[in-house]
Amino acid sequence: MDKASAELLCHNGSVNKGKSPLGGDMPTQETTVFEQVHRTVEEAIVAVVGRWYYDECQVTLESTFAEDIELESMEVMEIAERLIETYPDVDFVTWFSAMELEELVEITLGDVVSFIVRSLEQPATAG
Amino acid sequence: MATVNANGVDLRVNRYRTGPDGARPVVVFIHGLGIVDHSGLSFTLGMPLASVADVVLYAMRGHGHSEVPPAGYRLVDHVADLLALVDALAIDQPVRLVGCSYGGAVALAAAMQAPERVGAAFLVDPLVPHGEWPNRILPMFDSAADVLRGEYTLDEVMVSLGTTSRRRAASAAQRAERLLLGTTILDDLRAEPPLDAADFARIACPVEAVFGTDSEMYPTAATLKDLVPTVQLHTIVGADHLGIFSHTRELTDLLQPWAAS
Repeated sequence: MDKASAELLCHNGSVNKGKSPLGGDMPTQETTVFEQVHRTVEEAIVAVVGRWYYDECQVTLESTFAEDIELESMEVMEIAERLIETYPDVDFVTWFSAMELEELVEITLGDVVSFIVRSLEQPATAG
Repeated sequence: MATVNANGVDLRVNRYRTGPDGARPVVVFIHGLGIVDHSGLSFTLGMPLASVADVVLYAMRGHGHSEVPPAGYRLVDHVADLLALVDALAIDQPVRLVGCSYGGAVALAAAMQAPERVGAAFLVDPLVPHGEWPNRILPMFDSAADVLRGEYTLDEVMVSLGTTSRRRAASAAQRAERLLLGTTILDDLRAEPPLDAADFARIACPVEAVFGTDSEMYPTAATLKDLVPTVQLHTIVGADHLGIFSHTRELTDLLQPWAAS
């Protein structure tokens, strides 16, 4: 996971929370967006590999697509296509284009979620 | 990702374009034969061209998530698929073809067969379809088919593919069985009619090619130069046939100006 992703995770996980009227943590809008995107990306992966296998992998935000989830490149492309359809304003193509082969291989679920969240926040400059 | 029926075969297709609207060259990638499809090329070479061209990538018949017809795996079939795909996508300009490995043979054959439809060809460590060219790849495929017909273990597949993933090895073995044992591809390769100098003389478009100096295809660079005297040749020192595709930066540096010109 890259530094920006880690910072965003940290930001959403501990700093950016308020208190609800009942006294518990109340998720901010940003946290909600992160969780929504996280869920959407998970659903895209599940649609390609199946629920049973996805659960078997015990996927976390740190899980790499290649090493941990053992995705084939054609599966990564299928997942990317689903995400491109879901988030048409997110420039996945430019993001992938900027990566070296080694970076592509090491991409994590958290990297993808964080990139989408950043892009949704700043659609004109993300990527 | 879309499925497009071309020449009677369902082909999986991806198209990429970024940046402003407006007319651009159309670049179509053609991958190699075997357990691969267009997905690896999409990420490494295709997407980086999307800022200067309309990029089309597809899985050839028998590959990836495209249909696997039981027969029809000669060059002429792949060229027919390619040209029908261009028609189906309503592309009304000559296309620029990037042919990788066997895809290079398809690109050259398309440029011979339909010179008015191919605006340029860029070949990445291509299989040059001249002389006894199928023999450059048949021994490897015959050997793989022999293994698949017998008893083999996933561990052996993992070693031969150089992967630590049992899941990917199992999937690759399944695809290889489907293609090599379930279709006429090996017989079709053996029966390929030779292409001669007169065929190559029909190529009217500019051709560029890059070879890895450690690739078994490298000696055919001279053959290509004889057959297509105007070809512009490049080399990537130390790259072998598979390794050349990990030299993404060098390849992109060659492809970007070629695609945009």
